[in-house]
Amino acid sequence: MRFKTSVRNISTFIKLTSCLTPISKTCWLRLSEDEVRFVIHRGDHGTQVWATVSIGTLFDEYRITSANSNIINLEVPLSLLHRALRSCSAAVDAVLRLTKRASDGVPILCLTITTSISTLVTQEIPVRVLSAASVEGLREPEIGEADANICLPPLTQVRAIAERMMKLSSAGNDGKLILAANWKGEFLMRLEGGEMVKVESRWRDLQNPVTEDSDQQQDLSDEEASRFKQVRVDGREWVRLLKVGVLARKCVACFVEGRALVVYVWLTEEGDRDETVLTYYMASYSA
Amino acid sequence: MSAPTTLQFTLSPQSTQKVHEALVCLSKFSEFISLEARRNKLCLSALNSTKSAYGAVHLTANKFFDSYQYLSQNGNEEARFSCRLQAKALLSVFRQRYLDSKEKPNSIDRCEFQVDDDPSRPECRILVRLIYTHGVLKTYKLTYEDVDSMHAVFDRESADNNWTISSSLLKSYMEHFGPKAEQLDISSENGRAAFTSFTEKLIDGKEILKQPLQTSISLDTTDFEHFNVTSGTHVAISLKDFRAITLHADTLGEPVHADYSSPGRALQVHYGRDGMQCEFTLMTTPDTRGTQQHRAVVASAPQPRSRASTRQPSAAPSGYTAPRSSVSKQPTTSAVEQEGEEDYGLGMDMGIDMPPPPVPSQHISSQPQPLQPLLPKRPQSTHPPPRPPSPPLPNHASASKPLFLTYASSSSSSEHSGDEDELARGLEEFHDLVGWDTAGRAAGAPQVVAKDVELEEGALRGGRRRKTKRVVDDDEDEGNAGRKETMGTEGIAPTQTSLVKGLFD
Repeated sequence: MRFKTSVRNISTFIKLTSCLTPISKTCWLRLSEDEVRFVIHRGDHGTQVWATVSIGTLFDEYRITSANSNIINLEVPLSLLHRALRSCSAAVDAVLRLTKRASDGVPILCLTITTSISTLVTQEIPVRVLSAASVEGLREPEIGEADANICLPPLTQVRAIAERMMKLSSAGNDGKLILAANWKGEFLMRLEGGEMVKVESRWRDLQNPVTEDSDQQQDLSDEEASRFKQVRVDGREWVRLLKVGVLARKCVACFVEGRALVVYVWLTEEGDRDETVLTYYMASYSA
Repeated sequence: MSAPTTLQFTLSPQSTQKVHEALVCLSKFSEFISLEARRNKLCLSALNSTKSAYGAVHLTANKFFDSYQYLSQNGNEEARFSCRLQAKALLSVFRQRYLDSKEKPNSIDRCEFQVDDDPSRPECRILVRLIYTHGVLKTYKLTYEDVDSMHAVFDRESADNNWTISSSLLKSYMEHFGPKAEQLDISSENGRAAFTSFTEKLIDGKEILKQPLQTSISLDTTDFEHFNVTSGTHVAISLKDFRAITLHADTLGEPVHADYSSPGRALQVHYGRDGMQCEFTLMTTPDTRGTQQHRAVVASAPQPRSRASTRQPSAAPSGYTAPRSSVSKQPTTSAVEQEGEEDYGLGMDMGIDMPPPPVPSQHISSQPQPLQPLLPKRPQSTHPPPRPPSPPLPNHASASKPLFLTYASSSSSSEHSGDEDELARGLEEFHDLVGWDTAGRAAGAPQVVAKDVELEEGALRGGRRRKTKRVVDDDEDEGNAGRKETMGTEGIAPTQTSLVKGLFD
C-alpha cells in the first residue's frame, strides 16, 4: 500500500477540510486511481457529507498502489488534517504521503512542506487504515427527484437567523427547524416552539434551478408551484452546515418533501476546471 | 521586626504596555506573580506549579522607569522587598490599551505604582494609579502576600550549547504546532536543526486519531544568528512554555538566546531590550520516545552523596555524552558552587522529612484555589541558617512528587521499589541540576535566613500574619482535594521552616 502525491491546490484543500470539520471529528478518505472522495457518514441520523473531486483538483504527481484495486481507505481526523494544511499557506512545495511513524509504527499521513529554501516543516497526522470490507456498506444516499430546488440566500445571513432561532428553541421544542421552499423562488425557515414561540423567516426572489432533462417545473399549476415543500431538520446540525457559508460560492438546496434535504455547496466558481462540490444530506424528522 | 518599606515608581505608556506584555507571558506559567524590588531594579517572576519552569523579567530602575525609588528602612544597599500577587489581579490593572493614539480618551499619560509596607495596617496594599491624558484618574488597590521570591540559578558558563535566533522567525515556526502538542524536542545534526513536537501519552486502537499532530520543523543552522550546539544533542521542553516565551520575545522584537548543556539539565532562554531583561529557566528532559532505557539506568544507579560530587553530572542520562568539562570546573565566583551546597542541604532535608505513602496522584485536581493565607515575613537578617529553608510541606505528595521530577520519571519508575525512592531520586536529580537562589543573593556566602524567629516567639505583626500552624491545618484539610498549584507554591514558602522545626526538632 503506497500513496504519495504533491499537493497542487492548497486553498481548495483547506476549504474542503474547513467545510467538513464543523460536521464531524473524522472523515473517511477514499483514495483511488482517478478520484479522491471525502465522506462523513456516522451511521446515525446525523448529516452526511459526500464530496468527490478529481485528482487534478487537489494533487499533482499522484501515485497510489494497493492490493485492493489501488484503492486506499483511511479514517482521518479532520481537525488535525486541517491544522496541518494551514502550515502550507506559505509553502513552496508540499508532499503528502502515507507512511508509518518511526517511533511506534502508527500509520500516518505525512505532509512535508518546504516553506523556504532551507526550512522544512513535517506534519504527521495519525490515521486509521480501513479495510475494504468495513466501508463496503457505505453508499451515497439515493434521494430521487426533488420536489423543489432553490438557490439559498447568503448562508452567513441564514446562519445568523438560524442561531437566533435555536436560542429560542429551548422551551417545548426538540431543537428542530422547519425548512421549506416552493417553485416561486421562496424559501422559509421556521421554529415552532410549542405554545410558547413561533418564529418564521422568509426569503423571496430566489432562483429555482432545474436539473437538466427534468420536467420538474413543466406542468405545475400555479397553486402547486406556490405550495411550500417542507422538511423538518435538526437545528443544530443545520447551523453547523451553515458554517460553510463563508466559503460557498453557490449553494442549492433540494427538498424531498418529508424525507430529506440535500444541499449542494460549490467551493469554486461555476465552470471552473477544478469544480469542487460538497453534497450534504440531512434527514427530515416527522413532527 | 522591620519598619515600613516604600517602593514607588512611574511608568510611561510604552513601559506600561511592556509590563502588560510581560505579565501576560508570566501568567502563563503561574497564577501568581512575584515582585521583588531592589535599589536599582525590579523583578517580576513566576514559577510553575511543578517547578519545572521559571520566568523572570528584570526591569532596570534607571532605564525602564520614568522614576523609581525604593527606600529600605535600614538603608542597606542589598535590601529588597518581595511579595506575591495574583496574576489575574495584576493583569486587570495592566490591560492592553495604553498605546492607543493620544486622541482617544482611553490613552494614559503615565502609570504610578506604589507599595506601602506599613505594619500598622492590617493588609498589605499596592496602589496603582493610571493617569489618563484627558484627566481621568483610575486607582487600583491590590492586596499582596508577603512571600519571599525564589530565583532559579542557572550557570550560563557551564551551558556549552547555545544559539540565537530572530524572535519573529521563531514565532513563525511556532505557528505550525497544533494546540494540543505537549513537548518540544530541540535537536541538531549535520548543520540542520530541528524543533519537533511529541507527546508521551501512548494511545492505541481507535484513540489513535485523538493523538495530537506531530510537527517537525527542520531548518539550516545558518538560519540562526548564532549556533553552537554539539551535534546530536536532544533536549525536550514544554511546548506550551516555549510558545509563551516566543510570543513575548516577538513583542520586543529582539533575538532570542538559548543556553543549555544536556537533557535533564536546565535550559535558559533570554532576551531583552530597553532596560527589560527576560530570562526563562526550563527543565529539559530527553526525548523519551526511544530512550526509556536510559532513564531506567540512571534512576537505579547509586547516587554519590559526597558533597564534592553534588555538581557532578551523576544524574545525567548516560545515553547523552555531551562534553561536560565546564560543569566540573567549579566556578568560584558564580553562585553555582554555593547554591549547589545550599541546594544539597535542601534536597537532603526534603529527603529525610518526606514521610512515606504519598497521596495517589489521581487526587490531584485542578480546582481553582483560594487566595493563600498571608505568610510571615522573614526578618532581613543574615545569620547562617539553623537549617536550610523551604522544605516542602510533608505528607503531601502533590507537592513533593512532581517536584523536580522530570517528565519521564513516571514511565521509568514502575520497575523500581517505591515512591519514596523515586522521590529521593527526583530530588537528588534535581538539586543536582537546578539551584534555587532562595536568599536572592547571587554572590557571597549562602546566606539563608532564619525566617521564623518572630513566629517562634509568637510575635505576629499587626495581626496580618497568620500562624504557621494554621497554614498547615488548612493544607491538611485540602490535602485530599490535592490542590496541586497551592501545594507547589506552598512548597517554596519560607514559613514552612518553622513547621519542620516543630515536628522534627
